[in-house]
Amino acid sequence: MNVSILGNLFLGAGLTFCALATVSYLYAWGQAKGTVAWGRRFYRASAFFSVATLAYLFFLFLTKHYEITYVAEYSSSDLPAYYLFASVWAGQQGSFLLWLGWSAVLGLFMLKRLGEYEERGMFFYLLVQLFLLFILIKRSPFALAANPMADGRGLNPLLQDYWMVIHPPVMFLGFAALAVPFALAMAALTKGEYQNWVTTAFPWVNFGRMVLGTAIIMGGFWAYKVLGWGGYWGWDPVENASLMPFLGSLALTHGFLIQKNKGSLPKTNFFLAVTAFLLVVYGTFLTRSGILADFSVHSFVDLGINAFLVLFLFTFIAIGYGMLLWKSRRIKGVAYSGPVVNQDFSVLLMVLFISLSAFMVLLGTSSPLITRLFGQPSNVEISYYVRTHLPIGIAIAFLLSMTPYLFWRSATPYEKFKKALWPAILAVAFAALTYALGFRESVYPIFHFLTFFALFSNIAIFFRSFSARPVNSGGHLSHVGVSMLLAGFVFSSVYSQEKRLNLALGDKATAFGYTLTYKGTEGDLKQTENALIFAVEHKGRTSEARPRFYWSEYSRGYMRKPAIEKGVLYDLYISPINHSRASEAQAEPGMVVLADGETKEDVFGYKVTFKGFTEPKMEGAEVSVAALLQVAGYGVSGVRKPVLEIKSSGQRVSPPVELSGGNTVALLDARPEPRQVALKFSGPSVDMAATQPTADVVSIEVSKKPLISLVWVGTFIVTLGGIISVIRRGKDLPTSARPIERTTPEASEPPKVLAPR
Amino acid sequence: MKARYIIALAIIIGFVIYGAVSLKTSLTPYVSFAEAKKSPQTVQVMGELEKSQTRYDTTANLLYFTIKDKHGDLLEVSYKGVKPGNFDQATQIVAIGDYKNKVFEADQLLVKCPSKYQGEEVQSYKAEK
Repeated sequence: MNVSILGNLFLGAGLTFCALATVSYLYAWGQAKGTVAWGRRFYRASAFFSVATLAYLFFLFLTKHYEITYVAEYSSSDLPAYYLFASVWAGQQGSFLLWLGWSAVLGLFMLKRLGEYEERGMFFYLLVQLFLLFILIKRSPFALAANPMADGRGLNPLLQDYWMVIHPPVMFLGFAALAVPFALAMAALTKGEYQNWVTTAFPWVNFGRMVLGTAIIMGGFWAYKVLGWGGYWGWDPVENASLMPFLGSLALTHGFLIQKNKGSLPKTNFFLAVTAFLLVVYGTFLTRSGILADFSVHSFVDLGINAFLVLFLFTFIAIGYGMLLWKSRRIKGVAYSGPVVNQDFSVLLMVLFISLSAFMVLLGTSSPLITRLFGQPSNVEISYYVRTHLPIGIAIAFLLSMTPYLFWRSATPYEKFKKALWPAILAVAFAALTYALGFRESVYPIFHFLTFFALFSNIAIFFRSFSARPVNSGGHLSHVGVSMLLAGFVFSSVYSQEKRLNLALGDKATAFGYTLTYKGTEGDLKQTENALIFAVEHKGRTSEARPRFYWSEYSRGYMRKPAIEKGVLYDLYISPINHSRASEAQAEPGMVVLADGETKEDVFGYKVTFKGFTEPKMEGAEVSVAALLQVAGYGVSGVRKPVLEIKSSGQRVSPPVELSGGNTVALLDARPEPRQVALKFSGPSVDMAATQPTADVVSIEVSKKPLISLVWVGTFIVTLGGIISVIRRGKDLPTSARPIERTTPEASEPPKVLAPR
Repeated sequence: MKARYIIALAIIIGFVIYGAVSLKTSLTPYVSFAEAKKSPQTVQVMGELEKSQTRYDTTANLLYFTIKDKHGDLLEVSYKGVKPGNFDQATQIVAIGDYKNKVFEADQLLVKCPSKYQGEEVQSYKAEK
């Protein structure tokens, strides 16, 4: 049996069992309670085949089945085996399969932990898997190539990195996890049970949020360290597509806190649970359909599954929002009474500002689609995101710094003030210090103070909470990390400085107190590991920096990987831009640009002076103009008049004019103001010059990124906090599957009032 | 209860208006070459590279090239900075900038190249200041 058929059989079996499980759960939801057992069995079979399909695709990569188009597209025989993981999810089909695989695995955990929501929850959850399976069957990764090749095309060198091996799986695990709160929200709505589902869904939301957040920063770290884009975040549609569902889940986390504590906000939480998942689907649609291809650096191209993706999106919009609208009159939260400003209100405001942030990103990312409705599609500048997030960031930093004091309910105002004193003094000191060091861009000093205040306040409450009950300290620890992240974002982006340096071999130049000496290249810049070598001297200490720079046949372009001198206070980021060998090879040989009256002494053996233009001749729409060139040397002395003709079609014609020894000169471009000509010399002298070794000159960009270390440390702390929260909320879940025979569910209990976090 | 809702609602309305205004002012519309020549604001133009017209002014570190749109109109673009690595293979170029001194000065280029990876690849390049 050929491997293509076997792969498709796996997919087909997965779809069959998935459909059977869906139907069984639908029956179980209705009258036939016993079919839950069948639903579980079919689901386990379906999950087995989904994971097996993914494993089988990996196996085909490992065994080099290049007759399969997907395998041939993303790998080759010389690719190291560990990058084959990256190959599996380098393309569209493989990443959908990865999503399906994670979804299947998470479902196995759900079977035991959904309790009374099992039938309905699994039914809605399986709808997502059905869609993924449909897409995969429509665009199978196991399709045979029409013209099989002996070897594959290889993997894009940009993707040959261990980050490509781990970043996508983490991202898709997060995407898969956000389907769980969606399914549970649907289950709760259909059941008419609007409170208890929060307990069941909470750990899944925490898990999805933590995983997505980690994945996003991993992607940022990859972009910063490997791709050399100069930063960790570029507000690119693909990045935004992962940010939006993360913000949705972050808002939902805070909404759940209020509902767990007070029973308020049930509608908001249903809305957020549905929206967070829809943002995953919408992001998939934006980046996979190819509609943003003109706007994104790394979108996928259209694979002919657009109709499917649109159907996927609209089906879930209809199910999610439809159900919420239908039931919304019956959903009643616990009315709130008490003072206007208290801890619940601060959490409510947090939900609000995080949602606004998601909305702003949604608006900006969708701008090509929105503007298409009114005419020419256009994109927003990056400044849009910065401008809209500055006030949101300040508000969030303010709320973060207030949270510890609002949550400390037993304290009197005087006690709170006393507790806030030390964090406030430290924050003022740090804010003043950074101000004195020159960090004083517009309103940002307020932001600095608030992030420092938030940081110290949350550190204080974290230690208090940790010593009381460690499992409850996850939220506070996350807030410590978030404060660090906010400070890291602001300092490393707002105060990033760049400097371009052009260095010939042996040259020295200084940037930000560092002296860089260009020491030459490693290899001929045609091999993957080749680099430019610099000696970096700073305060008497010398180190070596080797930013990678090499020609990639695969991309037909130069690949660049920065060298980073890491530091606690700032990173020095050395990014290669160009090398003379590269520019000589690419620039048109024989091209010379002269300004008015300018003389160049040695132009392929001639001395050339640009003396002006002849009167332009117009014939209808056609224009012709000649440049007056004084040429001397190599057996020539006199004026040459190369002509540039511009036809009515806009086409330019530059007939060459004889010089000597077979050399010619042509007028490529003429510019009236300021007067300038571009000349093109051709002939033996030019060819000879082209084969001469060229000077070894490099162009690099050196940048200084203050406090970027806070971004990585902050991420680590947030993730740690997230893990504690997952454990805390996970304790509220059942650990084994519900027995099949059971009595009718008892009436829903009133919400329990629990301690914060 | 009421006071909280009013505060929340005021924040939402304020931010939605602020977001919409920010969006409107930071849009860079895709325009035709004729419109780009007239427009005072930052715009995006897209066209195919006219390969024979590319030249590089090494002293000023300026790249000049001409793009042709689907109507056959031509536009000369200048870009400060080194020539992007995959420039010569470009099938399509998006330039973001404005028209000054009879040339379209690009702040950013999106160079779309045929690639083995996913058929086509877009890379973005920012101009030097």
